[in-house]
Amino acid sequence: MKKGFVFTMDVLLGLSLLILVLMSIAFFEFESILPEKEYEKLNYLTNDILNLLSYLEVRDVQNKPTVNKLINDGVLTEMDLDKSVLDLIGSFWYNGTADSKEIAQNISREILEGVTDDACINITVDIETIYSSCDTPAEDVSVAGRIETGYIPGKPAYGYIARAFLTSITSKVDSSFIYYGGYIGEGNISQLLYLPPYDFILEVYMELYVGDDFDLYINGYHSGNYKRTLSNPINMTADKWYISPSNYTFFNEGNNTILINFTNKRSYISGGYFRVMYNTTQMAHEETLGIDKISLPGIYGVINMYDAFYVPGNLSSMEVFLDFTANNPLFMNIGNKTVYQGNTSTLISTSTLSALLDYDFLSHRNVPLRIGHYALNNTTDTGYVTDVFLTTSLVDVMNLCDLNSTPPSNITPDCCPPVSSICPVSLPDVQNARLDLAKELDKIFVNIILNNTDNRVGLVSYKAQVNDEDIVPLTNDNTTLITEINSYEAKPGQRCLCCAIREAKLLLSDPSRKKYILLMSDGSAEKAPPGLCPIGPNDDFSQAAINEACDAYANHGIQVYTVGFGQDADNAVLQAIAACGGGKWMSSTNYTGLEQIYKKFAEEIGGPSIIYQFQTIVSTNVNSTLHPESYILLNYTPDFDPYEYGEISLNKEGKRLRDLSGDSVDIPCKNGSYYISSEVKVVNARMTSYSGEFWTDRLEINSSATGDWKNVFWLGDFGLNYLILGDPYIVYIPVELITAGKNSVCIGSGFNITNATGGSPDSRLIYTMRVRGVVGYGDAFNTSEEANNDARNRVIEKIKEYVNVTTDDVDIETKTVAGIQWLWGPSLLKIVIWNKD
Amino acid sequence: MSAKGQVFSFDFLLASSIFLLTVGILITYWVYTNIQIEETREINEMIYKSYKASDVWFREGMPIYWNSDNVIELGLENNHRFNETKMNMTKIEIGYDRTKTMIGLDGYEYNFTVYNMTNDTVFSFGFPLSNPQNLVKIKRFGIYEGSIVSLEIMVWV
Repeated sequence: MKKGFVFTMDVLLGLSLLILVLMSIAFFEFESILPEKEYEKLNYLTNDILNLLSYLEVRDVQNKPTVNKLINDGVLTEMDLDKSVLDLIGSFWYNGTADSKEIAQNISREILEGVTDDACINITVDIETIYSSCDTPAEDVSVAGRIETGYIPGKPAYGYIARAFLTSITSKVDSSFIYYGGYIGEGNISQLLYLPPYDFILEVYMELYVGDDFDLYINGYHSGNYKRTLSNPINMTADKWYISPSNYTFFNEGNNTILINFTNKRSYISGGYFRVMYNTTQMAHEETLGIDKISLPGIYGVINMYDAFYVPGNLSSMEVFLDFTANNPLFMNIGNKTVYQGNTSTLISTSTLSALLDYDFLSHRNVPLRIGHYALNNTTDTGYVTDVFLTTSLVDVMNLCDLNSTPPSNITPDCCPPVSSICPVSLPDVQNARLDLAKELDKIFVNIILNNTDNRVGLVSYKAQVNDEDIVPLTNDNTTLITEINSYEAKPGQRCLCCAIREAKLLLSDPSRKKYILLMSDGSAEKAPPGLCPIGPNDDFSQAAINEACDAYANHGIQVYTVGFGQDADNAVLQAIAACGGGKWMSSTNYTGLEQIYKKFAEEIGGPSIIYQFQTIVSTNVNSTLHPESYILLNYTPDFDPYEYGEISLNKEGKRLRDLSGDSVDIPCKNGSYYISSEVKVVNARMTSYSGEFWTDRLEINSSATGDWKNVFWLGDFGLNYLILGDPYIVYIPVELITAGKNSVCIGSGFNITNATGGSPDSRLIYTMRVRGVVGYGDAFNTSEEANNDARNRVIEKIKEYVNVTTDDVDIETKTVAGIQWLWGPSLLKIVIWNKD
Repeated sequence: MSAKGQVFSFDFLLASSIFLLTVGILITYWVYTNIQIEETREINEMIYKSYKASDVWFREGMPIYWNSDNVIELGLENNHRFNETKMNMTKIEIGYDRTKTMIGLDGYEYNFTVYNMTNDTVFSFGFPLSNPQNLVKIKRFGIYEGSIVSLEIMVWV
C-alpha cells in the first residue's frame, strides 16, 4: 500500500515533467517569418501605392465617377488628363474649399479602394488627412513621402506661349526743344530746331527770360510780337507764351530756324526754351551715340554769351568751329580756359583743345562756355545795383562832445567838453557833439552812394528799439534821406545794435542786388529785445548783435560793415560783427578819421558792381555776329546704351518747381521731387534754371541711387571767379542717378563761390525716357491664338500710357511648350500604410 | 533485500523510461528546431530574393529598349508602366530559365501572375505551382495598360 503510493507519486511527477516539456515546446513554437520581413512587406506596399498615385495619369482614371464628372463638367480639360493623380488630388486639396477637398477625398477613395484588403491606406498632406481607407488602430506603420508641386485643374500642362514686340506705333505725342543759354546776347538771336517726321503739330510753347519785347520768326515767317512782362531778376521768373496755331504751318520736318528779333534795342535771352509738341509715328529719336554736335546760336549784334554744354560720357576728342564776324577780338572760354581769342573765324582742332583742356576732368560734366569781347567786359559804366542801410545811434550820449578833431568847416561848433559847459565859439578846442558829426558823415556817405544812380540807401536810426518812424526805406532820393538825417535827435535810451541790424536786414530782400549794412556805434550793445534778437542764456546783447550779423550774411547775402565811432565804441564787438557779417570794421576817435572811413566804405560799397554788369552790357562801338554754323563737336564713350529693339523714346517736361515747393526764390537752392515710373528708363535728364543776373552754380540730387543729397554740378569746380565762366541754363543730371521712384533735385545760383542767390521757381526737369515695347512669354494657352492675344494685350497695356498702338503694331512670337507646372505646394504628401490586424 | 531490490529495479526502470522519453523528446525538438531555423533562413532569403526579383517589373532594364540579344539587365517597365512587349519577350524569347538567372532566382522555381482589379489574370509567366517545399508569395502593385494591377510573385523550392 505504502509502496503503491510511492510508485504512483513518481509516475505522476515524471508525467508532469513530460507534460511540462511538451507544453514548453508547444509554447515556444518557432516563428517562421521575422518581424522585419513583415515591415519590409508593408514598406514595399507603401512605395507601390505612392508610385501608383504619382505615375497614374488622370487619363487612366477618367472612368472613375468623380473624375468622369469633373471632365463632363468641364472642370478638367484635355490638358489635365496628362497630369498625375497625385497632382490632381493635391491641387484640389490645395484649392481650399470644402467642395474641392471632398473631390480630392473622393478621387483618392475611388482609386485606392479595393487595391488591398489587408492594409489600411492613408494619404496626408502636411498635417491634414486627405483620405483614409479605414480607422483600424495602427501598430506597425510604413510611411512614404514625396515633396510635390503640381498642376492646377483648368491650366494646361502644354500649350502655347507668346511674347510680343512693338514694331511700330500708331502715334505718340512727343516734343522737340531748343534751349537758350544762361545769357545769350546781345541782339537778335537765332537757333535751329530739329523736327523729326511728324503728322501734325499740337502745341508750340516758349518760355524765355528776355531783356525786351521781340518779334518771332519761324523759318523767316513772322509769327507774332511778344511782350516782356514776367521776366524778372528778383523773382527769377520767365515769360511764357503759346504760339498761335496759325503759325504751325511755318514748321517743316528737319531743321527750322527760330529767330528772336528784338523790337526796340539789342537785347538778350537769359535762359529759356522753345518747345514744339507734335504727333508722330516715329518710335525712337534719331541719335548718333557717342557724337554730339552742339550748334551755337546765331547772335546778330554783339556776341556776349554765357552758356554751358554737357559731356555725356568719357570725352575722347572735341572740335570747335567759331564762325563769326566782329570788329573787336572775340574770345572763347571752355571751363576756365581760354581756347581762342582773335578776330577771325576759326576751327579749333582736338589737338589744340586737348593741349588746353583736361578731357578727363570735362567728362561727365556740365562745362561752362563763355564767348564774348574783352572790351565789353571791362566796361564799368553800368551795373550800380547796391542797396545799403545806414544806421545811426540816437542814444543821448550822442550829444557828447568828445571827438578830437577839427570840426567840419560847414557846421558851427556848438559844444565843448564836458557836454555841460558851453564854450566860447572862439576857443580853439570848440567841438561838435557826436550826433552833429554823425549827421555830417551820414550825408557824405549817402551822397557818395547815390552818386551812382542805380544805387539805393535806406536809413535806420536806433536806440533801445527801432520803430517805424526810425526807418527810411531804400531809396535813391537824396533829398528824402538828407531831410531825415537832419532831423535826427538824440534821446535817452540804450543801444540795441541787433535791432538796427535786424530791421535793416528785413528790408534788404532783393536777391538781384548787392546788399550792405553800415552799422555805426559809439558804445557797447546795451539792449536786445528777447522776442526779436535771441540773446542767449547770459543776456549777452553783444552776442545777439553778432548773431544777427552772421544770419544776415550767411542766409541773406548781406554784408555788414561796422564803424567804431569815438572813444567809447566797443570795437571788439564791432570787429566780431564785421567778421561774421562778411564786411569790414574800422574805427576812429576823431572826425577826420571817421570821415575817411565813411568815404572809403561808401566808395567800396557803392562802387561799380562788376559782377552784376556782365549781363547788362551796354555795348558801344562794337558789332559782331556769331553765325549759327558755329558748333562744338564732342566724341565720347556714352553713359547709356543704344536703343534696344521695340523701345520708344519720349521727351517729357516735369512740373515747375513752383508747383512743387512754392513761388519763392529759395536760398541756397530751390528744390522739388519728381517721380519716375519703373516702366521707363531715363536716358537724358536736365534741369532748367533761370538764374537772373547770377550764375546757375549748383545742382544737387537725392535719389535711391545717391542715398542722400549729392552734388552733381558745382560751378566753383571751374574756378573761383565766375566772371570768366559760362552760365548754364540747363544742367544735365547723370542718368545713373535718376532712379525709379522719388528723385529730389535742388538747383541754385550765386555770384561767387561763397554766395548763394537762390533757385528759380520756374525751373523744371526735362527728361528723355525710353519705354520698352516688349513683353516676355506669359501664361500657356490651349491655342496659339489665345496666347497671341494675351501677349498683344500685355504689350499694349504696358505702353498705352505713352503711345497709341493697335494690334497691327505688334509682332508676336509663339512657342509650344509642355510640362508647365502651376505651383501649388511645395508640400509633403505622405502615404501611410499599416496592417489591419 | 529482495523486496528492496525489486522496488529499486521497478523505480529505476520507470525513472529511466521517463528520462529517456524526455531526452528523446528534447532531441526530437532540437532536430525539429534546426530544421525550422534552416527553413526560416531559407524562406527569408526567398522573401528577399522574391522582392528583388519583383523589382524587375519596376525598372526599365538595360538597354532601356532591350531585346533578347542585347539585354544586360532585365526590366519590364517603361514610363512607370508594365510594358507588354517586354513581358512577352521575357516569356517567349528569353524564357523561363534565362530569366530565372537574370532575376537572381537560380535554385528556385517561380511564377509571375498579373491580376487586374477584378482579380482576372492578365498575364502569367513561370511554372505552375507544384508540390512546393517552401513557398514565398508576395504582392506588388503597378500600372498596366492604364490600370492598377496587382503582381503576384510566387517563389518556391
